Amino acid sequence: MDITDKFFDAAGMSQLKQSVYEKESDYFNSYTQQIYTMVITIIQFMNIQKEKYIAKSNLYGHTYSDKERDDFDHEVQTKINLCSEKIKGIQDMLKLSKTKTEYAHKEIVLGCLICELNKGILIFKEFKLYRQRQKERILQLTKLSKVNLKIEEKKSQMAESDVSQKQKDDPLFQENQQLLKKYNNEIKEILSIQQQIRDISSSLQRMQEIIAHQEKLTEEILIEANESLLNIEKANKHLINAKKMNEQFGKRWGLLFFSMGIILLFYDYINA
Amino acid sequence: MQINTSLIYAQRDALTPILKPEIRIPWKILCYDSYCEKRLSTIYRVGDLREMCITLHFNLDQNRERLYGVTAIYFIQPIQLSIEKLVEDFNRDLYSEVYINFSSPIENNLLEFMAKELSKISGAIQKIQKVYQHNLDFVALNHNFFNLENQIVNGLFSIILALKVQPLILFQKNSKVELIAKELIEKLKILEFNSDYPLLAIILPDRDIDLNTLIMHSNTYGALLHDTLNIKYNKVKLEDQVYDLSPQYDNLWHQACNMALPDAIDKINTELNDWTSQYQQVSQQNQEISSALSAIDLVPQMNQQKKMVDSHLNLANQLTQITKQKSLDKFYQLGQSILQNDLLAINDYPQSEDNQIESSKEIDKLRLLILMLLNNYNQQEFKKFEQLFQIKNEKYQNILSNFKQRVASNQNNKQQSVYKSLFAAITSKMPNSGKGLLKNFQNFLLQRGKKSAIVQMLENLFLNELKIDELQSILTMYDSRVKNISRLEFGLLSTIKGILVCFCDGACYNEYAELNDFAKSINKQIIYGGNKIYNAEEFLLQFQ
Repeated sequence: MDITDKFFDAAGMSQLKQSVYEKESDYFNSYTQQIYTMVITIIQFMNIQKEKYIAKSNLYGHTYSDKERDDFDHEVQTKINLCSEKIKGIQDMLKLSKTKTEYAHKEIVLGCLICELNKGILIFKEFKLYRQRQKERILQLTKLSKVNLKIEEKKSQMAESDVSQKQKDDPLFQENQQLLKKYNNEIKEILSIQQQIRDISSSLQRMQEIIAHQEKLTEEILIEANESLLNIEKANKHLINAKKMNEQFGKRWGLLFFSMGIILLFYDYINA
Repeated sequence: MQINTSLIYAQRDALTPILKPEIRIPWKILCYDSYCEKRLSTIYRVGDLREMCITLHFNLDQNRERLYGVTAIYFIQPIQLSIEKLVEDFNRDLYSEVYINFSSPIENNLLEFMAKELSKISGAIQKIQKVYQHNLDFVALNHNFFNLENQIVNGLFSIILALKVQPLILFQKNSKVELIAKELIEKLKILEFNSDYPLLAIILPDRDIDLNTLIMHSNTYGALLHDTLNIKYNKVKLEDQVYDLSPQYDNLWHQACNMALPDAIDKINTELNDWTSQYQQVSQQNQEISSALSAIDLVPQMNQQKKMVDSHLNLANQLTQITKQKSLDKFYQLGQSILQNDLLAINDYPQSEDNQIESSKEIDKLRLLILMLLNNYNQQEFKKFEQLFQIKNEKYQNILSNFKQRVASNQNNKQQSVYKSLFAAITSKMPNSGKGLLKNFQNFLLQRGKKSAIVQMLENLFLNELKIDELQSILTMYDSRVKNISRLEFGLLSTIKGILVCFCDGACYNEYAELNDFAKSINKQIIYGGNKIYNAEEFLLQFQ
């Protein structure tokens, strides 16, 4: 139950007064909020487009063509890379923390952003997995067709001598040969795409490792920052003590020279 | 309409809007007092708070540094002390934007006090974005198990609101609970219930009807853990490690809590074997990229499962060791024999040769002796056991002599029946009326050892038409649908969608297990709890 009005009445103030502190925006929090919004938007975008991306037929609505899928992959990959770059930039801001609490807060914000981005990467991986499986299915089919092709070739080799000129001139036969060539080319293309997908999945894995490594580094940075803070505090104390001691020594030396000076003067006076 | 939510999910539904207010910048910190910390700790883990973009969480008692540019959410009890700490935070200008949430309705004078103190601090009022009051005065330990933390009326009121039910309140006439029930009824009269809400029978029995269940040894996994290792708000500490037994994350605990220990251990072993076979399956699937990638997806889930199984293996191992060392299984058997009025032989008690082990069993021996006293065990046999056990601990000796005095005074009193409630004698005067009450519960006692008194009471109430007249003289029923006292009729079970049993003088895991079994037999949801969840030692120490 909202008792805000009751509270402000009791305080004798109207809630209409704008909060002065609302206008003061902390740069770190605003910047991270933007990144967070970007990551959430990417995730929402992927979730919305998922059905079209993995739809098998037009019975379920407009499906994505291969080109549209490529464009989609490129767009999402670019956005993920951009977010990743921005997140890396935040690490420098951790050093600007004035207190341990602030540092811990910023570190956790960084962790939350990495976590959300990871979620996005995992969703994107599902899309990649889908395409990978498609390619594998095509590969299996093409393997079968390769085997068939070899059988056909052998048959044709065996029967080559029997192939008459008439057959060679036959337009259907020629068309068949052309189709086979085209098929061979497509198989080569598919194999190269498969290799590319393998590369992409290994780079995704590497990216995950890097992110995990970053988390470790951030933790190490926190520990070292804490230690350096402690050292700085100790150094401060030492400096203060040294200053105090210096002052004391300074006074003593000053007194010593002054007294020596007076003694010399007196000696001089006596001699004179 | 069924009662389709558990206490944990109902509490979560109530807490989530507190922790996720609609603000521009998602990052926030959470500050709470110890009272509210208990409500949060059984519902959320740190990971859940992170998902809600709560970066840091502090108890008000902790020393905190200034953190500007960040929204702070306060979740506190509406008491003077917590409000003073809140005001102190504003004095120190710790945060820039503040949302204040009270766990229960705040009194006007306290709200005015807070407003007055904050208006003295420059800029404090402007920082406050919203002030809310809620009804969250219960701790949900399990989906159907709660702890009211001595806030009985507010706690039950909060549960009724959280579960969205229409309550039928049944309480014992002329007993200590009558005052509590009447206070609750007065609070409920203000509410208008939706007629579509399901009916929940809330039963408020006097603790006097059954002290045995609180004192005797149990054989269930949950009760044994609580007895030996002390479960505090679903956390168990074992060798400097804290295990979280929240049922919403730990499915194994949810299933095994009310099982007998041997069955629970079997269940844990089955889970371990299932995990091992799944692990072997997954590790073999590395031939193709797609299956390797899907195996990677399973890793976090399997890690979680392994952690859960490992923690229960450790707990079960420790429990087994303690059980063997202290012969708790033997104590359980002896307890059951006492409840069934079987004569025990001195040789039945497993005396250990190690003096240290024998002295560690003092509380268990005390429990057996008190069970004998409560169940009018043969005096001569009792003395033999008392001599054999030789309780040396002063506290326990006081407790035992206290019980002896009360039982002796009960036996001397001709007007009252033999089994007199000790609790009532210690805490309040025995009512003059209510003879029928005691007689009725003595009948329950004849069958003691097989079923607890509360289970028998529920059986008589809902399943035994012949007992309904007797119960009408003992129990009063308030019906929230008509906002008045109604006559108790047989056939109530068919109209209600669930039962809630609340003991105002203490609840225990042992009773929880029994009611769970009974709930399965009648195919109704039974929610159980009390003002505090005791283990036997904690309960007996009150009688020092």
